[in-house]
Parts: sequence; structure tokens; C-alpha cells
Amino acid sequence: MKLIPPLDRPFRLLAFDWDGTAVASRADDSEPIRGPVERLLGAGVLIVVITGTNLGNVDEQFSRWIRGPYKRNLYLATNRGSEVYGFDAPGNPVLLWRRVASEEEERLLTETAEAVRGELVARTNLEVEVVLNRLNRRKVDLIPLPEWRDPPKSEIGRLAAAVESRLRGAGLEGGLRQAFDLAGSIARAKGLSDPRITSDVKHIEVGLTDKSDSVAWILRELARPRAIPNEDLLIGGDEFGPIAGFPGSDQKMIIPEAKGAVFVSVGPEPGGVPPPVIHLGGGPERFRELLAAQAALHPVELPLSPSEDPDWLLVEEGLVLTREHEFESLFSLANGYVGTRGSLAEGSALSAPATFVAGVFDVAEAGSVPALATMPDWTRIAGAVEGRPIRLDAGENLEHRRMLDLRQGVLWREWRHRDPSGKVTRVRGLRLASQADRHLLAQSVLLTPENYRGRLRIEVLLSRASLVRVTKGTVVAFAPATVLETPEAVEKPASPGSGEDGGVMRWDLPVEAGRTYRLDRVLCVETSRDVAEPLAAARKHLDDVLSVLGIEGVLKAHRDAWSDLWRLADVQVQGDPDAQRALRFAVYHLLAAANPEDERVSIGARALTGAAYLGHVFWDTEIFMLPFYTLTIPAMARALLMYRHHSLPAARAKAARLGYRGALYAWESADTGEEVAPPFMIAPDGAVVRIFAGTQEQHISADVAYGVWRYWEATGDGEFLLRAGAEILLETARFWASRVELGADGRYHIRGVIGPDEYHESVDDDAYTNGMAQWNLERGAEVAALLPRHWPERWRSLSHSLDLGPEEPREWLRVASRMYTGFDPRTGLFEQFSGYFQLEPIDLAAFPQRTAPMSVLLGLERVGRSQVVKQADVVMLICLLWNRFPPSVREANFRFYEPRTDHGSSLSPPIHALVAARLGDLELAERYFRQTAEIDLANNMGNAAGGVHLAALGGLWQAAVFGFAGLELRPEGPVLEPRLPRRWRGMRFSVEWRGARAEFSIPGEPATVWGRVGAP
Amino acid sequence: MSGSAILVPLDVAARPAVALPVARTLAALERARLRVLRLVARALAPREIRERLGSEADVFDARKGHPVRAILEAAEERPDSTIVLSTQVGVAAPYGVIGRVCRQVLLRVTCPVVLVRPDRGLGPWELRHVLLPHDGTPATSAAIRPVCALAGAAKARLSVLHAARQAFQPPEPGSFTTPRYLDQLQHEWPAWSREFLERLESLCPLDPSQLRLCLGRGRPEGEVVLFAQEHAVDLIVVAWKGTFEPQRARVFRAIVRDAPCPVMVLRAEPEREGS
Repeated sequence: MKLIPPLDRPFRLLAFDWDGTAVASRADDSEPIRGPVERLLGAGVLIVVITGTNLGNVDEQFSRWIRGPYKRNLYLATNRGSEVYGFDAPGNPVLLWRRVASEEEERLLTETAEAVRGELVARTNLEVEVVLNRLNRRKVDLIPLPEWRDPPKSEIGRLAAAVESRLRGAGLEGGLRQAFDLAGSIARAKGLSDPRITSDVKHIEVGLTDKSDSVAWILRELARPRAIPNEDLLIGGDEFGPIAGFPGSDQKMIIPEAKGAVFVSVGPEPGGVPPPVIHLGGGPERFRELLAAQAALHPVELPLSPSEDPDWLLVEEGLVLTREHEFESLFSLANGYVGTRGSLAEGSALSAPATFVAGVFDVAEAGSVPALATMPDWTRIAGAVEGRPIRLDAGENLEHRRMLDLRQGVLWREWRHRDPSGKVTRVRGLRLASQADRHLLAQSVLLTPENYRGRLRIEVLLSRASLVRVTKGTVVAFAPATVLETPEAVEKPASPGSGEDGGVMRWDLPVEAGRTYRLDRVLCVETSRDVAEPLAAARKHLDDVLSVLGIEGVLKAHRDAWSDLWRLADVQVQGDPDAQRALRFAVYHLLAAANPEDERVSIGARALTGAAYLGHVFWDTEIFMLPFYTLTIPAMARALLMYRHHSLPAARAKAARLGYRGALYAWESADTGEEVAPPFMIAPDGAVVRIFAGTQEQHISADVAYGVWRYWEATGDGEFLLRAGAEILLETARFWASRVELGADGRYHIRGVIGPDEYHESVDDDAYTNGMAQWNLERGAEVAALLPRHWPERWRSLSHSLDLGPEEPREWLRVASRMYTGFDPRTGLFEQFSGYFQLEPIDLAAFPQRTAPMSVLLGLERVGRSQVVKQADVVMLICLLWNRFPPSVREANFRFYEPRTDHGSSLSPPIHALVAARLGDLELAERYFRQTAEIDLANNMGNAAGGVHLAALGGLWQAAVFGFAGLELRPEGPVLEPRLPRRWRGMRFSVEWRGARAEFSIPGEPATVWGRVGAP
Repeated sequence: MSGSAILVPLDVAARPAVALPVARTLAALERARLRVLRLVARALAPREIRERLGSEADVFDARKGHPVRAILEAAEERPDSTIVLSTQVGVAAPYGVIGRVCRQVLLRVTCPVVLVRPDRGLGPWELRHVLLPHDGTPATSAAIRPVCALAGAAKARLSVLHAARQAFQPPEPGSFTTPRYLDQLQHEWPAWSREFLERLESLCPLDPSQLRLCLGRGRPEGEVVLFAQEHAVDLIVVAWKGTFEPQRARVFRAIVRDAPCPVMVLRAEPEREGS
């Protein structure tokens, strides 16, 4: 529809008559008009329906079908000016205003109607009826005949003729006009001060209000408070002109206060329209076109916009399709409950879209280990122009950009694509996993045909509520809501995604060059781990959220939640943009991985960003990630440690199976805590390699205990200690006491283990393992002394349930004091394990800038016979238990082992960066820091294809905070001993310590702000 | 029969007929026409050629001129040709050295070229095991695409061999070489193998059931030749960047020189960023 002035500009408030204007009759389906109405409401336009009928009728026909938060922009002025309704957050009607009649007025209305009826009967002897049960008005039915019981508006001409004929034929010479005037004079004579006499031809109505009251309310309550000028009001009707000699009912809407508003009529208006009404004609169909044209004047935009500061953006310009798996990992979105890889929505030959739900594992085949289950691809959106798919690998990509917005937790995409026939389509979109409501995923995409008109097909997968049942029995429900907006309306799909079409929802749209079409999706995920009826819960949750917030609200809440997280966890670096971006990237993925609300899950090695490592949980969590959570958002740390508490039964069972007491945690664990490390592996050279980690890499029990103790120290969370932490410390200490062997030298030994240096298997007295076991035994004894002193009741129940007598902790201390450590006081060196010093020395300097680990270059067997260390082992021990060793020992061991370390694990460089920084070797520390940062970000070796290296990212944070900033956690509080890299001009971060938050600024005061936690 | 052709140039240099059994098998597998180009009048007689190849082989003589030009002209007539030739075609060269004609042909054609060493002999040739040395670059994956149909037709096993090197990081975006970090072997190797093959298959749609990824250590040329010797490889497929510059063609030269089987040479072009 081509708009003529003054209709060719966007109005901010639309008010219109219902019956005859918006719909032909009250029996009509209102669906045609709902599309443009919803589009306008979504664009923030206020819409008021002005009707003579009651709320029930118009709600049933129209407003109950409208859902979403934008419904709050909708108002119903009902009962011919006597009431106005708005809608609350869930979308229920709420009375905003009502003209309340006094008893006297009610009586006078009835008396007037009865008197009019009496007068007409007296004059004509016709049957005339009075309708009493109307709010603030009474109706006198002039033609109560069956054939005219409910005449449609379109029959108004015939109706008028029939009424006139009936009245005049019976002796009322003035006909309808005379009856109308009669009602007015009787009302005034009865004492009604401001009677409103109206007529729909069939009736004469006597009331206290009319549509002028509706317009007055609109001006007073909607337009004025919002500073909407009258010029931005469009008021529509179909009966402005005279009918049967008296003014049409819509003429009442033309009130003096509305001067300047634009009035338009779509009715036939046989008597013409009064000024200033613009007569369009065409009925409800024309009115729908007018609304659609108005909708098109409001731009279709994305609900958010990207962060402008490049320090917060990780950008992929162009496209190297072979790196797609890497970018999918880097651009992953997660919230600790659900995670989605940053795959291309339309797919490609190398797309591996995957969505994971924390704690939902699957077993592919009998005998295989559980793996994080891959959920259906909810992100999939396919577009095609005239049958040609819009795909990166078909046609030409004029521009392509993906941006991970770290600040907002949003993945953005901008893309201009030219298909083989030259049609250029611009695509912009966003995607997120809500941090505000972890069950929600959202996506919004804009499509703009730049140089063509034609048919655009859009398809989305997972369009209906679906269940996924994994082999381990968990049920995951997805409930989606999908909306497509054209410039004119919210469009219904051609195919709604029912069972027959495999759940594909499809639109076939005629599109125009330069116009933009927007697709919004919000999905809710629930699992049988959370609720008994996940599908019903997901549907309800989604309904509730959308009716209150809508997608705009979901996005805003998500953005605000990320903002809150960054306020607690951001690390700012001045002078080194690369380091800044790397740290933000690390913190982003750490924040995305954890869920403080779920203590039954932990974080896998690749978090929820990829299928590699099968979602299995390692020591990575407690040693590399936990310090970040403990000191920034302790609730996240606590949830992770509670996972270890819940998996104590499995750890006890593993210890018992191997002949020990206490708790031996699984080297790899999934949902239950049982050992899930694969026993064998086939190497690319075809060799079958036995994997001993599941039985020999036992230091994990001490690592878990370490995480517990450090959390307790940092938070003072006594409730946690009593409920879970103490039990972990006691049971792991008990394990080590049963694990050691008393040697002929009178020392306790731990034989047949693998330390962090996994190049050497089945070794005796690994320095890290023994050192950490010793520490664990001491902490076990310490907590066994602490509890009876401070919480005797809890101690009684705990010691009873563990059958732990007073002698056992004393034994732990004795074992700890006589633990073999491999320390040589003459050299100050720890021997990494018994016999290590006798192994073949290999000069790693002869393998400079290697792009493969030594285990690949020389083979596992050869490195196993050499002094080449895979990753920090003794250095790791020194890093974790820093204050147990004098500076000379720290220095000596680092200088000895660092040149022998291959860094064949991504966990090694960050620890070396940290220790080097604390030793003051900044050049070396910087090198290792950069190497850590590049593990994912400069990945051209494909390491990130299966997911980001979350432990290395946690290590990067530790290198910055414990290394360069020199944060030390002393009993009296955190203190800094900064040693910033040369390029870093400054650094800011904050930590939480025993309920208080300390904000650090370097250079500057050690703690520039120090306040109690809790104040947002 | 498809529209493709197997072109075999023949002259009188050392045992040029060694190319014929290979050409015959390739023609059968690719359902291609056999075209034998007699570069000189003294080359194998047409009758004898047809006895060896079958009566349907086209035998034709080169017009006067340089053999390289004759081969190029013949190849241009059928753009989807595969050229099969002895490394010693044209002027004889010392053992193990690519002859001058062969070298010129390699430099100037873009179609696949199968090189057969004179010492291969005249016995029948079967294609049961193909070796694809792979440096991890997308260019190599794209280049070896023609081998898909061939291997499929032959139902041949495909071994993809990547050699781990101490310091090797191709500048080409999207290259995928040995991982720098192997945090946990039991997870890294399966993930790495899967990723390597998926990147390969995205550019070169090979049948995964026939495919096996192998990792070697050390100099790629040595690893390739050794693997071919130890695993009864029938054809080595090499993606070649189209240069004989001393520092860049070392691996290529060595493979051609020492391979115990024919070598198919496919031209590789580096992938452009943003493509």
C-alpha cells in the first residue's frame, strides 16, 4: 500500500475502532490483523482498540491471541468509552480505568430507556425492546425482529432502510432521527446532565460515556505522560460521517483536545466524512494494509548491538573453512548449564555444530566410556533465494565476520553473500546462552535482500518441543519459540514444523530489495536431572519468560548478568592489548563454564565448547581453574567442590578396588565420579597404547583436597567445610595413609604411580605425588583437630560415620613426617622420581621452536627413558606449596627442571609463567605467558578444534594474578608483590577474601577498595 | 566410458613401455580412453602397442617438433587427460633423475601426471593401496581430489601419511599438523586423527572406510618411501607446488627418485585467505 501524506510517517500511537474497522464482524478471525499489530507493538508503538463491546468479546476475538512482553503496549477501550484495560507481565488484562455510575445515574439510565421505549410504542404501536445489562448505558432496540437480530456492518444500508421503513410506516414520521432526538430530550428531562446518545441504527443507546471518553483517556494517560504529540496519533474508524441523518459513532472520537491527530476512515461513508478525517475506504482489508504499511516504517533491527571496544571482541575476518572447528570452539557460548559451539547457522562441509548440557552423558556403545552427549542443532537456520541456498560454500562471500563479544557473552555474525545469479543477501545475527536464566538459548537473525526481489525460503530445525533421551537414561527437553518478522508483520510459517516435516519450520516469503526480515528464536532446555517432566517444564518456563520478557528482555537480562560477572572477575591490563584480550578470553570461557546452581556437575577439560575429552573431568578443575572461581565468584568454586563430595562414594569404591582405604578420585570422571579413563588407545602410527592414568595417576586425590583447603582458606565457608570439605580432606588423607609403603630406609614411599609428568609411568616416589600426599595427610590431621574444637557435634557424627578414631589422624602426621620426598639438601633439588637422575639427558635446546612434542619426535619409549619432562612436576609442587620451600630451593629446582621440560601438555606453560614471574625472571615468564595465550588464540595447529583448553586458560589467569601481580593469600589477607612485564603499564583486578572484596590497582595502593561482599 | 583420457607418450629412451601397464589399469579404472602418443617413428610399433593395450587404444604419431610440445598439444586436446610417462622419456638421464622432457611436462601441465620409473618392469599393475603423503595444508587436500574417484573405482586402501617434524608450521591458513600439546594421549590422538581426516575430507571427499591416517616421524621423503616399501603401496599421490627450486622440491624429488611404485603428481595451489 502506498501511503499518502500525512499517513506516510511512523505514528507512535494508533487508536482504532474495532467492529467494521479492524474486522468485518465479531465472528471474524482476527488473524490477518494480528501480524501487523504484533509487529507494531514489538516496535514500541502503542495500540488502543476502541470498541462498544465488552472486554470478554474483544479479548476472545483478538487480544488473547497476542503474546509476548510487547503486549504491554496494547490497550482495550471497551464498553463505549466506559473502561480501559491494559495487560500485565504475563499478558492478562488489567482494568486501568472505569467510569463508575452512581445509583442515581443507573436509575436514570433505565428510566430513560424505558421512557423512550414507552414513547415509541405509544406513537407507533411497534414492538420495541430495551436492553438493560450494559455498563453505563441502555439500549433501545428499534427492530427486534429475528432477521435483524445481529446485522453485520456491511448490511448497515439495508438495516437503515428497514428501520426507517418500520418507524415511518408505523407513524413516526421523523424516523430514526426523531427517535434519536426523542431519546436525548427524554434523558435530559429525566435529569441526566450529560447524556450520550448514540445509535448503531438498530439501537438507540443512552449512556454516560462514548468514544470521546476513550480518546480523552488516551490523550491524558498515554500520550501526555510519554510526550507523544497529537501529530503522532493516528485514529481510525469506519463511521465518521452521518448515517441516517445523525453523526456516525466514530465522530465522537474527534474531540477538541485531539486537534492535530490524524483521523482516517476505512468505512463506506455514504454521507461523506467530516473534516479532518481522511477517507480511505476499503474496509478492514484496507485497514490491515494501513497497519502493515505503518509497521514497515519502523526499522527491523537486532535487539542488541556489539560492544564497541575492540578489547572485548574476538574477531574472525573472512573465512578459512578448514579452521572452522577451531573457531567453533573459540566462539562457543555457554553458561555452565548448556553450551553451544559457534557454528555457522547454515552449516558447511566442515561444520560440527554441537550443544552440550552439563552432566548429560551418553555411552555410544557397550564397553565404551561415557561421553558428553551432543544435543540437536538448535542453531540451524537455512536460507534460500529462488531455490538457491545461501551458503558460504556456494556463491561468493563479499564480507564475512564473526565476533565473540566477551563483554556481553554474545556471538555476532555479519555476512554479505552473492549467489551464482548475482543476488546479494546481507545477513546479521546474534546468538547467546543466557547467563541470567541458564535454561535459555536465544538467536536473532536479520536478512536483507540488497539487490533483488523474489522468494526467500527460511527454514529452522528443532522447531517444536522435542525430547532427547540419551542411553544413560537422562531425558533432555527443548522447547522453542520462533518468530519471523517482515517489515509489515509477524509472519506465520508456511510449514509450522509438525511431525510430518521432521520438525522443520519453513517460511516462503516474497521479499523486496532493501527491506529487512528478522527471525528470533528462544529455546528452553530442561532435563530429567532437574525436573520430573522436562518437556512440560520447558514449555512452561519458556511461556512464562516470553510473556514477561520477550526476546528483548531475555537478551537484556543476559547482558546485565554478564556485566555483573565482569564486575567481579575482570582483569584489566594497560599497555598490552594482546595480553588484555587473552586474559578476557580466558575469563570469558571460565565464567561460561561454571554453574553455581548445580553441584552435581564439574567442568570437563574442554568445558562445554567441544566434544574432545568427552566432557571428562580431570585435576584440571581443582588445580588450574578453581583458584579463579574461589577468588572471584566463590559460589562457582563451591559447586565444583560439591561435585567432588557427591562423587566420594565412587572415590571410596575405587580405592577399595585397588586395595586401599579412604577416597581415591577417578583420574577421569563423568556424571557419577566413577573412573572413566579409557584403558587403551590406538596411536596414529597404529600402535596400541595401554593407558595407565586411570590406575596410576593418583595425585588427583591430593589435588581435590588441595582445592578444598584453598577454598576453605579463602572463603572461611564453615558450612561447606562441615557439610563436605572436611569429609573430603579426611577421606583423601586416609587414602594416602593406606597407600604408602614403609621402606627399609624407615621412610614412607609411594610406588608405581604417574605424576603430572606423564612421560614416565609406573615410577616410584614421584616428587609431586609424594609432596602433595604429605600435605594432604597434614591437612587431614589439621581438620581432624579443627572440627572437635569448633564444631564438636559435627565432628562426633562425621568421625562416627567414617569410623575415624583419634589415633588415625596422629598416624597421618607420623606418615607425613616420614614421607620420602626425594629432596637432596646438598643440591637443594628434588629428584622427580627414584632413578630420574640416572636417565639419559636430552638437550632440548637442540630442538628449538618445535611444533610437536618430544613424545612425537622421539617416540614415547625414548622419552620415557630420558630426563625429558612432559610438564611441570617438581615445578608444579613448588608452585602449589610455595611457602613450604625456601627461595633457594624454588630457584634451584626451577632452573634444573625448566630446561628439561618439553611442555608437551598445555598445562605446563602457564605454571612456568607463574613460577618464573614469582622468581623475578620476567623475560621467561612473558615468553611462557604468551605461549599459554597462544594455545587457543593463535591456534594454527588445530589444538582448539575439539574445544578450548580451559585449564590452560585458568592457568593464564593464575600466571597474571599470582605471577605478575604477585598475589599472595596470607592469613591476614591478600597482599601483592607485583612484577609486571615490561610492556604492562598497569593492572587492575579484584578478589574476594573471606566475604570481603579487595580491588587491586597496580601501580597503586595494595588494595584501593576494601568492602564487605554483598553490596552489588 | 567417460570423457577422460589416459595419455601415454612413448619414445625410445630407456624402457618407455613401462608406462603401458600402469596406463592400461588406470584407463580401466577411470573408464577413460587410452591414447598413445608416439613421439618418434622408432618408438614401439602401433601393432605392438595394441597387443599390449587392446585394440581400442588410439595410437597416433606426434607431429614434427619437440616432444614436450607434442605432449602438451596432445594433452590440450583432451583437457581431462592423465598423462602417464616414464621418468626417462625423452633424452635419457642418469638413474633416479627426472628426465628433461618429463621435467618440462610436469612444469607446464596442470593435469595429473603419473611417473613410472624405468626399472618398474613391464609386469601388470594393480591398484590396491594408495599412499597420500600429506603436509597438513588445505592446498594438498584440495590437490589430491582427483584421486577420490580412482581409489573408489579400485576399492583401494588409502593411507594418509603425515610426518611429524621438529619445527614445521606451514604458513597456509587452515594447515593442520602434528599437535604441539598432547595433554592426554587417550583423548588427543583420536581427536587429532578425526580432525585431520575431516579437514581432508571436506576438500577431498574420500571414502572414510578406505581411509587410514598414519603418523610418521622425521624427514617426510624418507618416511614416505619407507612406508611405501613396508606396506606394499601401489601408487604414491603427491601434491606438488609446481617448482623445482632446490629448497622446495627436495621432498618431491626424493619421492620420485626412491619410490618403489609409480607416483601420481597433482598440482597444488595454496589456498587463499578468505576463500
